[in-house]
Amino acid sequence: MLQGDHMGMTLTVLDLDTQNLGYFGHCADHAFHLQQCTQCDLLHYPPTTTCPFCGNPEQKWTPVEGKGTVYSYAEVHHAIQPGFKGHTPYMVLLVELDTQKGKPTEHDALRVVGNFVTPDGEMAPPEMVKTIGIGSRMRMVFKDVTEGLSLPMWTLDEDAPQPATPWRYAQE
Amino acid sequence: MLNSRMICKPLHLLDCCVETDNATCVIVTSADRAKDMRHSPALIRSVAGRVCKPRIDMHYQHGPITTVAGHYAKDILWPNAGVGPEDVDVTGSYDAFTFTTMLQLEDYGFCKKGEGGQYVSDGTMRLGGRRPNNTSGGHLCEGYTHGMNMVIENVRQIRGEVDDDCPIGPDGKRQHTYDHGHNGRCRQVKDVNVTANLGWAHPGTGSAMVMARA
Repeated sequence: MLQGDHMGMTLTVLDLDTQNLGYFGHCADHAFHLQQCTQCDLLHYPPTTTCPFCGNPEQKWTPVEGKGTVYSYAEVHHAIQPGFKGHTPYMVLLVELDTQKGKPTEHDALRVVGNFVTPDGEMAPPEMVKTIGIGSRMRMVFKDVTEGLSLPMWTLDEDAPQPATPWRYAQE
Repeated sequence: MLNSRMICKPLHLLDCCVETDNATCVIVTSADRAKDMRHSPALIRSVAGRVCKPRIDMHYQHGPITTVAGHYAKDILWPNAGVGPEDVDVTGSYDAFTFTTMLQLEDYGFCKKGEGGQYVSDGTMRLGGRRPNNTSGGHLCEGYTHGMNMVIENVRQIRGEVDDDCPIGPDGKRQHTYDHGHNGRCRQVKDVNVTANLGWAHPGTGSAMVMARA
């Protein structure tokens, strides 16, 4: 069992949850991996027991580049967890990976959830939150929680060209 | 609503329903048996149960994420009912948040995709409008029972027995005034023949039902 404290929350991955043990285990090595189906070769996210495209239970772990574009986001102003209250407004990003974009159909892609963080994995401050939106280019970083457990997060890809005006909800 | 504080952009406080402790009960029986019941029945004309988008595990993996299960459920719901959205007098739509109703009304075909904002604000779904929605208040204003309170409300709409503030007559029944104005207390819609309930488990999974007057 993996267990650790993240911003006042106890995170637990049980021994029976072999898919998430594998997923977060690779994250702990700061090497992003996703399950790849041994039958149809498609990658999928989040980790599951069978391939969501063909139903095959046989999966292997494949390294995947942690780069992509913001597909959607939530900007949280009312935090539920006490540990997050000091960080509002903060962002939960849904980032569409470059890998396997538009497969198996034009509507499909690997869209990975994570908080918007600074390059060292801390929650991005409000002045940074205001600068990104749909279309922003992101790269993955890892926040270490405990031995064997790290969380994938998103930070701005400083080396990538960014859209002049990423799409954002109108400001209040 | 827009003046209430922000919860999770773009949802303000009053875009979100409250959690409530309540209970609902619906009795389903054959049309034949229903004939002997005290209340006039509402007939189930069509049900689309737990219809899913292509990625049932995570809906946001299959875009566009503004397309919800109703986009797929409508092709089961309307042919089985033998009616279309244009024939519906009253809708009951799951509204844990305001946006869920908007997306469902679009995807079930009550308006075009992208025109849900216009539909919900031009008076169509108000009492007295062309097709009132959630006449009991829905999750936003009545209580959160996973869409079932809207089923009960639509049964009552079909019976003409909406439980509003209209005076009770000598026969023990509400004397509906159909006064839906600012000071009106009547929630009963006149001559309801067909209703539709649009239910939501999450954006990628939903159920729906059409009911009609016996």
